[in-house]
Amino acid sequence: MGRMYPKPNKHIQFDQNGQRIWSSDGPPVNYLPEADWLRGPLTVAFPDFVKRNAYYVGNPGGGSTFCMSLITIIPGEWGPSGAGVYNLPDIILGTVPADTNHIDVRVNLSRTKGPSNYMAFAIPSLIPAGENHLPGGSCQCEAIALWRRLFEIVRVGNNVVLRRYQSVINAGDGMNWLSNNSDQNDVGGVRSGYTYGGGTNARLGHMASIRDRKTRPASPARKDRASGACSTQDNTNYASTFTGTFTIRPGYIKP
Amino acid sequence: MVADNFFRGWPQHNITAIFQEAPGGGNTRDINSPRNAPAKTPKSHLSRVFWHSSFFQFELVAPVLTKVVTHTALAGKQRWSGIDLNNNLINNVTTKPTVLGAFIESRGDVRVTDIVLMTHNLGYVPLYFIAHAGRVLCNGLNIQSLASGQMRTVSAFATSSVIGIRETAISADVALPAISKTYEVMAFRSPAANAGKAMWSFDGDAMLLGRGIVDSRKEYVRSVLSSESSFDIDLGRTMDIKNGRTRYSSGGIVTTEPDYNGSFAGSPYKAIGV
Repeated sequence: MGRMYPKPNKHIQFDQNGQRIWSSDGPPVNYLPEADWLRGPLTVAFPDFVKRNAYYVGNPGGGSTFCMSLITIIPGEWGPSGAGVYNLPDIILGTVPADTNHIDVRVNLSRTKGPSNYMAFAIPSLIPAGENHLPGGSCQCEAIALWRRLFEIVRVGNNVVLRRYQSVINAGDGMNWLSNNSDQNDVGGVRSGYTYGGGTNARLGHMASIRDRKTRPASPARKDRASGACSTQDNTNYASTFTGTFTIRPGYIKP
Repeated sequence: MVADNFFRGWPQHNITAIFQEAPGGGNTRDINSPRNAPAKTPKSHLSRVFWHSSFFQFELVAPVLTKVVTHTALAGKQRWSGIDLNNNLINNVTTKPTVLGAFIESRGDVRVTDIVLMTHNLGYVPLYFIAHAGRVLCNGLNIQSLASGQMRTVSAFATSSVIGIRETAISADVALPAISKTYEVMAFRSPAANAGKAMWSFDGDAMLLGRGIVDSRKEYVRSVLSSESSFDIDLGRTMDIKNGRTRYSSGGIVTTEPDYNGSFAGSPYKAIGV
């Protein structure tokens, strides 16, 4: 039988045949009524990475060369505290009453813009179709060898904010680049191997995508030549965008 | 010393509540008395309100379902692309080229699988929790991570007919082996008040509160007492990424991927149950 009764410890218990439903010393997790929920459209956009390039010249002899160029991704950390292109500012989604200590976060998202392939891989989205529960508000949405992307919907004061992060690993300078970053050998000829380019920290770039290849004779295929060189113009776009809706139910869980 | 708790109702205002009184006294039967402020404006006195007829609660739709899932293996893979001395453009071949040239190697394969844990067929998308290892599942949680870069993540989802997990498996040049994991699935609803019922009534031997929104025959998500089974729910962020890697902290348990070099210390959490 259902009962509501005072316990010796001054708390009130609600139970059925002695089975506790809840009590004031172990109360239900309470959420405010629907009028207090936050709901709306949600767009979570992650920018493109910072790219450089790598360039291979092959000189098998005989006076002709071939080339292959690659787009590389350099390490970096993006987020609310990042500077310049690495800054991803907070986005305020709404406010909740000051007395609440918990938000139940659920989203319904699809990736409407995915990143370019990384090597042979199409990058999977970790967000399935349907409604996704985000305990604590965190959502890792991409995770491969090279990078992680994460967003969170969290409380900052009485604001509920969307925060985004993306992070590319720094594996150090382990590539066997040609000395002096030059494909020219001591006697003015071409030597085979990789050089880097495109800006600062290019040495740290991770090979991400083959940009161009030119077969022999490429007359010649050195990077610094006007004709015959492989293109190093970036044709990739590793930005991602997730679009959908969010529902936030503010509530209170007894500490 | 525990303050007194009170169970009061005002049918004319459609309010029933269990709460600790606010200071200021007044007539206990008057909703407008200062002492009854937690019942009148509960969202301004949440720490004093244990239950209120206006609150939204998670009522269990069906018994907690424990599901053991064998996450199957994913074979390793190697692919080469580039250009060889014979002027051949090589595109994603699985046999390592023997002719000299310039090649890049892609290691591993990717497989995405949606795994149904519960078929509920409710016709609407229910609220739900999926618990794993005593904690509510985070989106993109890494459940398997190996030295060669193989990894497996899971994410929870619900539709109008099923509750499940999306598994993303990534192998390396070597396979990602199979692994077995156990999940607890809970589906919830929040019943609407029935205007034909009293604020406090009986239905057979069951007690009903708030015009039927709470029924003593049902189970609700609530804080647990000692010795009750529970799972942890996080009250703040559960993941951080740094140096291309992730640290997960849920229910006080921290899992850090190699090469993560951040300082995330986790968030508070609370043990809850049904």
